[in-house]
Amino acid sequence: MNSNELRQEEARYEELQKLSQELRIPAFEAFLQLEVRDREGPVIKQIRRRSHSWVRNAYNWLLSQLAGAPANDSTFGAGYINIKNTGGSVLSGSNYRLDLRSPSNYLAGAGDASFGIQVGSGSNPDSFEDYALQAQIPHGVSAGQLSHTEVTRSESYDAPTRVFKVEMLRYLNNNSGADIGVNEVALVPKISASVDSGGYAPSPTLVARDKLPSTVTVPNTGQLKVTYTIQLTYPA
Amino acid sequence: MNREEQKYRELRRLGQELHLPIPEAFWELEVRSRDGKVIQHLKQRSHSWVRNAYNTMFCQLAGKDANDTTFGAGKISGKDTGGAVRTLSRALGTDYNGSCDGLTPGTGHGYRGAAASDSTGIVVGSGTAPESFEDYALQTLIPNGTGAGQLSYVASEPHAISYDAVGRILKNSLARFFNNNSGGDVNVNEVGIIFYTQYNGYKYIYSRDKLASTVTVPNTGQLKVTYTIQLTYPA
Repeated sequence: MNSNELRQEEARYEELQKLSQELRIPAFEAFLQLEVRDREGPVIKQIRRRSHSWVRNAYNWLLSQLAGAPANDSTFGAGYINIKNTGGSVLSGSNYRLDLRSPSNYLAGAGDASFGIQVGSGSNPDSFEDYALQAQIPHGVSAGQLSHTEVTRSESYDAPTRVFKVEMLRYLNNNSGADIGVNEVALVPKISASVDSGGYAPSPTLVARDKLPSTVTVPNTGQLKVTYTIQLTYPA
Repeated sequence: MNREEQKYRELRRLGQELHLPIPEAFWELEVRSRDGKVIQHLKQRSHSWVRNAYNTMFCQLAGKDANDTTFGAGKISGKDTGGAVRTLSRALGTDYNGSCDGLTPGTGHGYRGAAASDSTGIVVGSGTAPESFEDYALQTLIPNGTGAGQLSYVASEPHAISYDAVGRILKNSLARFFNNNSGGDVNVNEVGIIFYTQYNGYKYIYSRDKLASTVTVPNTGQLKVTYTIQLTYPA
């Protein structure tokens, strides 16, 4: 996408946000920031862009919540409400709802690459049907691996614009002995599909996957910082 | 199509194009006389997700806990229909603290009200105050009963889910009947939907709408209120 196309796209986002606020319909925006530092600390690459890719899981989750609608279909696809976890299993059941339950279900601990913020080397384009990264980069210090630190969260509110933001952040250190190319990033909370009396335990569920516009190379002994920002503009 | 409706459709189009979920909501009211004839019909958009609804959605998608002890701009908490501010060390949601209660019978929690319950599910009122983003209850609830100015609240119908493959619109509709056995006409000016969290017993209104015009339910007549939430999925 060239700079002119980016400007046009941003204008559409701004128009959407204006209408959303005027008509009092919540519209969630997401931004993605990547920053690479070499072993000596200077930033050698930085990308900031909108996340374009709430996937079907996110839509279903939102509808289940807002409408109180049950996730009772076992088929994943158009017209059905359920979630497909990163293992490819469809989670549904009579009367089940889709629920984050706790903010900690976004906050993966150090060394846990199974949820939170994930990165990968796959270069497939974004798809609304994505439920996992194409080729996740695992946690570790061997070839092709990155050391995943814990996911942290911070929040802020800007009174003049009425924008509430939550930032989720993860550092990934490259101790693999060689450069590693990152092409895709994902946001993966653990979502429940259940009722009080039973169901599935919180399960890693990809809700946004972004193919990066160009490969981000993390040099050996370097560090990648990934920040997802989710924000909602409240009405006046 | 009026200018406002054009804006709603433009918002839907942009949401679909940019992959941002844009939930829409509609109210439909239908009044029947004692002999079953439809004598009044009103359909309008719901304009009024209130702060509780925004906070709940934000808690979920952004992974935010509802831990503020105040309710208002820049704070995430819930205000129940009694006006009490409720905090949680977890996310607000139609969740562990209250099931969506699904398609099967069961009106003890969620968006479905039990028979004779005027504190959960779809509720109606006579208040004419304009909508406010800070609403947490109806202005003047019409209570359940058969006395003057009362309506008999029937148990909410099960969720009805439908999909329009052409428009890629997934809809969830909830309906509730109200019978007028009060001996006089009853006027309805406002409608709302209240979510009941079974676990801790809190009740939150998620939207309150002032009707475009008064809906009169005649003595021995019946009112059907349907609340539909829809989401347009991307291609």
